[in-house]
Amino acid sequence: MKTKIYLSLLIIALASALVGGATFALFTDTATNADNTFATGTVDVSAGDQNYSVPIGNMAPGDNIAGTFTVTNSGTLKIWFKVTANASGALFTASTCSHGTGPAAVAIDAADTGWIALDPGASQEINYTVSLPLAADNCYQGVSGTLSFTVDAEQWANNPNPENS
Amino acid sequence: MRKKIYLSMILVILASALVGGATFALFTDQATNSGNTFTAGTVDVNLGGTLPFNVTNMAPGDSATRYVEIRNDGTLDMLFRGYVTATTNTAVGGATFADQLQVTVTLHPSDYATPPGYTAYGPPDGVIYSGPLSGLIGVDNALDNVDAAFVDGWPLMPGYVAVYKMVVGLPLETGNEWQNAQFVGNLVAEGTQFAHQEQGSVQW
Repeated sequence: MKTKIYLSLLIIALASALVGGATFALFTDTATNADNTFATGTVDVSAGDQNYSVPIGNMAPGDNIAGTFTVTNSGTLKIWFKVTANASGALFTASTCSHGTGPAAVAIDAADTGWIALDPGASQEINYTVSLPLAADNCYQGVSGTLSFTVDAEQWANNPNPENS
Repeated sequence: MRKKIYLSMILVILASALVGGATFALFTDQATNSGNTFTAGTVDVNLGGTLPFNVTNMAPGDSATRYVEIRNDGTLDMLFRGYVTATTNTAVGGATFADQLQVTVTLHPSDYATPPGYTAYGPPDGVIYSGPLSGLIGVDNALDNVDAAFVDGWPLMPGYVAVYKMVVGLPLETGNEWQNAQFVGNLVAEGTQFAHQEQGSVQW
């Protein structure tokens, strides 16, 4: 008689196990929306070679040499850019002569100064003039100077005042 | 004498047969209730809205908005959860692009028209998440309606749609190192029946 009770208990235990297993069979479903993409762009500016209207050696007082170079937006974002001239050396330095007129000066055309907007892939030519005043003193004879340009670029979007950023 | 006995036995048998036959002539009737049908319900969750969420060529300060619908197209009350899985996530200096992207999630945005045939789920314009996109990646960071269902009695019922407004932005102070960064990910919605679940151990 005891054997029969144990068998009944075992059957009940097995039935409970079946019910327990059933709770893992709840109805479910999944939906997926794939490949949502967020990507940033790039700010990348490049400056081309300098081109001059005349050879830049052998300047004389009164010479105005026109120069140009090209700024290209090589990135993927619209940019602001600004060109700054960096002139150094005796030719561009006032203290080279203790008296008289000088030195040589660089002037970027008004249209190419300040912050300029440029679309991706677009280019803009920058025009400038290097001038040695007609009244330049003799002490500027035989001296030289070096001229380079810096191009600063910032994103155009969300940036109404680039100088302040 | 023996013959007589046999005859009696036959009579008894016949009489018994008559009695037995009479029991088959009792009045009877039977009624049937037919057409009782047992049907299993369905759990059917679907995503809708203005997906996929693609934003390319972002600059710091940019943001974009999309709407995500989680629809109960089944016949059973549903628990649901939604999360993001990343397949591409640019890493720079121990951080990821998903750490830079900031997300605000608003349930039941009032500026979005509920799709025809559905009822919008939840109270309007409730911000339920505000933080980096990385905080929504993985099933452990899923947004779900488990508490709403058990505490407030708000499972996602059949014909209901949970609409989420997602605004993803790149802060203006994001550094140059994040130029040309990319995040690609999947949006996953999972549904499971609400019935016979326990709040602390939901089976998904």
